[in-house]
Amino acid sequence: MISVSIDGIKLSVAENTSILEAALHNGIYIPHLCHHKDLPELGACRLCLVECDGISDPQQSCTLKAEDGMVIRTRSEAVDKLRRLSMELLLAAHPEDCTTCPKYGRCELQTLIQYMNVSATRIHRRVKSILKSTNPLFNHEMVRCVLCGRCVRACCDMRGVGVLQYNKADMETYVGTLHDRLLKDTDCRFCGACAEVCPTGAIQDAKSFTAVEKHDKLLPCVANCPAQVDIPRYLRYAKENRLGDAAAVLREKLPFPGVLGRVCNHKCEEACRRGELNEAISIRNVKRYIADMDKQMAWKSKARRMPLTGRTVCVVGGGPAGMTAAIYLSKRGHSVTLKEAMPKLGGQLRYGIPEYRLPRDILDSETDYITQVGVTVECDCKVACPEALLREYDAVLVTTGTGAGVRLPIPGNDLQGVLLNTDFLRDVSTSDQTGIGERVVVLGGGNVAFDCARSAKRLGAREVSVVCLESRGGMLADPEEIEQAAEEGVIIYPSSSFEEICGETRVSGVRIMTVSSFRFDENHNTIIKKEPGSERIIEADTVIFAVGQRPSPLPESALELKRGYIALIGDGTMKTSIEGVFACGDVVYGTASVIEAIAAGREAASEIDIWLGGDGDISETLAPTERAADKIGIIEGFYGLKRAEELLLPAQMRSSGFSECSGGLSGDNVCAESGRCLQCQLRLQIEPARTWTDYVGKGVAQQDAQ
Amino acid sequence: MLSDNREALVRVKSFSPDKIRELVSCAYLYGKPGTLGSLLNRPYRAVLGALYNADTDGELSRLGEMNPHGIVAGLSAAAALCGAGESVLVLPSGNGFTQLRSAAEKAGITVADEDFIDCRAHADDLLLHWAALAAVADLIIGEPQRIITSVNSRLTEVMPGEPVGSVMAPGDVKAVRIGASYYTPSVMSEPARAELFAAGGVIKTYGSDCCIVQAAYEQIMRLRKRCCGKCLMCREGLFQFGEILREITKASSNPAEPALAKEIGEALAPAAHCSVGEAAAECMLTVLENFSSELDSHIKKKVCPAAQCAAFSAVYIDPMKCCGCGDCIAVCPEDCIEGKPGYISMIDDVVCTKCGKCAEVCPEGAVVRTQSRIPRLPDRLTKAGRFRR
Repeated sequence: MISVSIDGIKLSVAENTSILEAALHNGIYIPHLCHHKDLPELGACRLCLVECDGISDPQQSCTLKAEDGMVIRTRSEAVDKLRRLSMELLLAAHPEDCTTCPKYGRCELQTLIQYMNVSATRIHRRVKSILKSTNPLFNHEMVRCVLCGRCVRACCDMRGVGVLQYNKADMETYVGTLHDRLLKDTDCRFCGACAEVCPTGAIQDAKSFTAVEKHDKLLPCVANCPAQVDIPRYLRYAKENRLGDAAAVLREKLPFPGVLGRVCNHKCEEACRRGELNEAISIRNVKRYIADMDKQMAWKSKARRMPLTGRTVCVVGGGPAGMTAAIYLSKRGHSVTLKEAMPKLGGQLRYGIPEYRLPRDILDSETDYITQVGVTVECDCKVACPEALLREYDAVLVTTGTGAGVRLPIPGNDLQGVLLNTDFLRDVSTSDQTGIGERVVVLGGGNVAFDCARSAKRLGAREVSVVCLESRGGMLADPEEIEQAAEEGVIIYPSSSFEEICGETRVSGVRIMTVSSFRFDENHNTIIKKEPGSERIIEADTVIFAVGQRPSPLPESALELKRGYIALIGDGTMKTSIEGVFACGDVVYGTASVIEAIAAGREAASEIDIWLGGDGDISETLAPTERAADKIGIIEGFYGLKRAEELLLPAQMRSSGFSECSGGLSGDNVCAESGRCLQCQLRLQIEPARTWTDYVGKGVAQQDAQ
Repeated sequence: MLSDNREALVRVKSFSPDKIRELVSCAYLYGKPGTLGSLLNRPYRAVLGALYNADTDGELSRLGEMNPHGIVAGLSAAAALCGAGESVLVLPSGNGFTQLRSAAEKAGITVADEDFIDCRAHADDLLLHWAALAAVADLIIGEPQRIITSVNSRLTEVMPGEPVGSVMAPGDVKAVRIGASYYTPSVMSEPARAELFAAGGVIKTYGSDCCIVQAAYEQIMRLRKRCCGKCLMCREGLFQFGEILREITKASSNPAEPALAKEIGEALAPAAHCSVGEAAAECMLTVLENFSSELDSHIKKKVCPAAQCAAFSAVYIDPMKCCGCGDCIAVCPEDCIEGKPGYISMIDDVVCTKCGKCAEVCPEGAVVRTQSRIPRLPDRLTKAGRFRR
């Protein structure tokens, strides 16, 4: 360590530290612009000048290395004069458009102007004739550029990409790309480092955000995931072929990655910033591959097990929410018993989602983990009154889900041959006897409707139709579900109302009408406008209602309900009306996704742990925590890289049995697909913009300014 | 002169370090004035032989054709002297320098084609001018040290200590530019020192018919074209210099501008990372110092002493000389010359922009540009040769 004195303050700093870094680190502010903590010094802006005893001219503190015994003054008449001149010169070439600039209020240059109180009045102003260009994710308005060179250094030195460079047209130097190409025509990796370090409004995010919103706006994939899985990190590991580490990242938040890799509704992909370039990353399929390859499960050695607390919890319902909560409660040291009404664990994963979407060996291998962490599982154990369990257990969590199908009140809804989605899918999973005939009509347009239709097709039904109110574009099912069903021969009748199920004692058909529009009124009743004379009958021998699911009743329970769902007392809690009884998952908020159930299970585990006297911290560090490499280099043609297609069985082969439709991605594709990720999180590693107000007022300059 | 680098290297090895230091101490340097001897105290990654970034004249590049072996030998010797691992010869891009290129390649020197040297990227390298390398070679073989220069585009040498004027032809000299600095003729009696030539090695003389403000403006513009634009002071300082000088020649400057130019110049000189900023600061500061009366004349008296600045002058057609050919009428872009064949042409003084195109085509030299009063001229069309004062 060496000691220097800055403005009379004695500092001890490491060798090879610049005076500027030493000062800033110790809360002494020296104005600076081209300096950025994470970038090599350029020494171009002449704002960080200081006086150094023994050197006659003022020195740039960013390039002045601290030496033992140095005496530095951050202000003097000469320094102030030179600094102000630099600022005047800088402003002469910067447009006066602060009030209309989107960077207003977050602009480093603006705060510098305020700090130094300088304007370019005595100087010749110049207007640069540099046009703006719009790129995906970023806007370039280089007329605002003050040529501090941060973006060029970020692109070249920090990232090793080297797309941004200094260009010169006649006498005007500007930052641009080779031959002034748009970013999409260069090797740009769209990492955003340039926008992050730009101290002006020259390179900005196309959608601006505040410091508070920054994380969620930059990582919309993570923000959109109910379980907040660190997607960029496992994609990075997948790209580096570190599949074990990638699996560990998944396991930090998800107990069932193989399941989710197949059936997750992947909200992450909808938000993926890659989608603004061309197509979103195939995140779900990468996850699937990682989970499937994770045979060693090296992360298990790092899993956290707390010592036993002596407290007991009973989880009622072995679906994804219940299993997740049980796992994390057990890891917190509580003795957990999971009671499941059906013969096996899984809930809707097993008795709702058909096997061609989720093979049961995958499910089995992942639900096995629950017993490995010490949860006592009791299957075939139906609970009629959860609160009664409080006699045996300290806490009870109800995660019974929505296991009851909904029968719409239309004529003929109780004829022979009318089935409910939940019953039908359960039967498909458990037995050969489903009671369907040759011609099946499914009423409903969600994923469950398509599960029913495609299962019926696989069971040998000759003609399968899906009828729904929504238009083709407005159907609730995933587009790939609809597409694959159509390929398999399922006939779709969109924009249709269900008028009546025809037949004497047995179903003979469904009478439908064409819907021109529909909406829901304030009481959630459907107001349907039909086209007169559009009636027709689809002949059928089986009708399956797939128009939603509701919780199965808990006949002996006194738990307070709200429209049939378990009511929680207050927001942000999972407490029910009975002290000690908690509830989460579909039984609380209605049918939702698996990932939401898992997120709810985690939250419930945390809350119950706190209620039982723990600290509620269920987090685990399973993957390496090292900082990602800043240097990402070039990937040729990065902008145009196409999304990897999943391997899909041909429709003929798919509909002939219940073997898995999709083969996911091949190993080579996984590497390339993960490599398409913009690695948006890298940007969060860059020191965010700081202004003079962020430094503790120790130096002379601050005291003056105050 | 040396014919290859081997001889130079053999000689370098035979000298003691002190002898070498003494020998090369006067060799002048790239960018900043100083001596090579003092620079050899620290290790370098590489030695670069190049032309100045600020070399807007390009005249010393002819040295590459005149003394290629001297440059190559000097570079090898300099690299050996400071223990640099690599020696690089930087050639201006484009064709030419075939001899120099092949001599360098034969000597195992890396050849790079670059018009501009990023001095930041070469912070650990020693940059030497071709002329300095040639001088190193001369010193090693025991020839007297000479300063190579170009006087009004004629490549020549001057011995240290001889008066600068000894290489210049006598004549009408108002100003002498050495490198980027503008001096009064008194510099001609000063003894030649290497530092004088540090920023370009070029001498140009200006007669009384030259406007120094315009000369400096053009110099600054040439430097702006060379400027890489990375350093704030250089980029914006040069722009301000250009604007200030241009406004002075356009009669639209305010009296505070020389002070502003001085402030920028003094801030720029120590801030410059390479010779572009240094040259611009020297140009501006020496003009301010040595030609303040000429600047004052422009700014306060609104007179260009050389009668070059169009904004201060009037243009008229001498009625005694005009032959009535009408050539001037045809070229006038403002269409402000009245006349017909055989009659004396007349310029409409109000519309005239003093562009001087008429003067260029006049076969009689009858178009006169003046800063003083316009004599009595015909007020109506008059036959050529008939006008009487």
